[in-house]
Amino acid sequence: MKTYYVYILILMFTIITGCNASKKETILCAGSTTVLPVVSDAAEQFTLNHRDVAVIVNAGGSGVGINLLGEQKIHIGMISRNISQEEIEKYPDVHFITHSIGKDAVVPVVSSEIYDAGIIALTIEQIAKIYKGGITNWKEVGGPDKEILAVDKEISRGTRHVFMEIVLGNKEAEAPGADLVLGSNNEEQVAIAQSNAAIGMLSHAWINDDVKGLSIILANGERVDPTLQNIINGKFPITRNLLLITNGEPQGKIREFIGFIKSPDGQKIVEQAGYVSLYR
Amino acid sequence: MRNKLFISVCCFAAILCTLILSLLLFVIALNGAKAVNLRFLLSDSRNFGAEGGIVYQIMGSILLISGAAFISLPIALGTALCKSEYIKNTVLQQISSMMIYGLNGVPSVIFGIFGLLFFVNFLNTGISWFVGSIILAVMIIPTIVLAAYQSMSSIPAIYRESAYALGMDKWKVIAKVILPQGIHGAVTGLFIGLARAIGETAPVMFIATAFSGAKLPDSLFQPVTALPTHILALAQQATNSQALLNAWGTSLVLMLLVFSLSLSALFTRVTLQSTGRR
Repeated sequence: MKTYYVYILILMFTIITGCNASKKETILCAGSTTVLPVVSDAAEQFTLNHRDVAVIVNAGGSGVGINLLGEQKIHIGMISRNISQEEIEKYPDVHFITHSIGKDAVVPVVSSEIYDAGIIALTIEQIAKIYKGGITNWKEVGGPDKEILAVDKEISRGTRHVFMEIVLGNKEAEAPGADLVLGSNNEEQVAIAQSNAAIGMLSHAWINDDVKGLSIILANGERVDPTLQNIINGKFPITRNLLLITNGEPQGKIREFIGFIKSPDGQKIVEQAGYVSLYR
Repeated sequence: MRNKLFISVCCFAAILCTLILSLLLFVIALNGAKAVNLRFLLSDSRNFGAEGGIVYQIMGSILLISGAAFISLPIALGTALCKSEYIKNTVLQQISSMMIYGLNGVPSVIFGIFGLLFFVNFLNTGISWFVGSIILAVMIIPTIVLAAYQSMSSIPAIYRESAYALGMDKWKVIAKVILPQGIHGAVTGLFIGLARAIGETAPVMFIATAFSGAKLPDSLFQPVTALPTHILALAQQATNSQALLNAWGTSLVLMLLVFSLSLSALFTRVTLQSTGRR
């Protein structure tokens, strides 16, 4: 009996102290899954050169990032939309400061089967009708005779705010035409890849061979492809800044970490993740 | 005729059940074996788990259940002793049993949300492995209590009577007779409980684990990473084949850990029972 306790104690003791002899400073980050790959990758590189720092990154979405920072549970919030006035008022003790670390576009995406069947561009009105429930079959926009699986996102997600602001005119607009509500970019990417008739919204960095980004037809009839070039020159209509937020001006290691992400080395990570760096 | 039909239906059910299990194990072993090697087991994960290994996930999971074991065992033993030695009233006995079965029936995600609201938000602990351990401990207490109580109540009455006849007081009887005879049940229950706890995702994902960057905690109030939540994160990147492969590998490691805990349960039951009877 006693021996079991001793074993368990020894095990816990070795695990906790064994490899962490020195006390590390820990930076806690949480929020948008759009910004997460950049921060997570940057954290890996940053901690290689700063052995005394641990950077812990958690997901949850932009809304979660703002709330956790507001409650002062984390040091850095990751957001991919702007902080709303209500959120600022909700936390009067917290002085939100934003740090831009790059730029991204939210792209309407479809399953590769739909893309290959000829749907490569839609107008904003057509997308809006799909999400409002006015268009429910791909043949109504010139595609194959298949029911549209419209994928929406959770209401606090930054990607949704930015997308709905342009498409439905209100960042928290309801989408009665949506068949499925998902959370992170990864979840949505997998769902659209696995369907053969889905439409959704994704950050530019999540577009791949199974999940194709649509071009947007502007009011003047011009077709804008979801390319990096069009995000950089501002032609693509649904773009946003990738932001970090802190409570007041960051100090010490937190300041160094944010500085690293903004440095040329850090901006390489932003580009590798599929976003537009600050220097473009 | 009817008898034969009944037997064949039963056999079919048994075969189906075993087949499903073997198929599951076979698929996990086949896919997982491609990912698992020494480097996978001993290195840190990189690129959201798609590269590198799972050393901190393994350690995090072990840490979580060690904490849970440490917290739950004394509480569960106390509860079982109280039930078998002190509660003589049948109504109280039934109420306590009902409570324990009730606790066992609570879905694990409820424990997770409770931990989030009570510990992380109300007590403001932040996301912490120790809170995860507490929640897992609460979750497995019924298993341990029931197993310990069963082994204690199956001690022949003559043992107790002889002990009292020898002039031992209640405390002595518990320490010298009941505990040594009943401990195999508690430890078996503990290992069965831990085998369940190590695979739980829902209770720890809100309160104890971080997405990336968590290594070994320096204090009670830091997050860790764990195997089941790692599998969840990898499965969400299923379009990346390397991530999927690592998800299989992580699943295999988790299965093996669960098996070793179940085997420990069997082993301690056999060895401790025989020493207890001596």
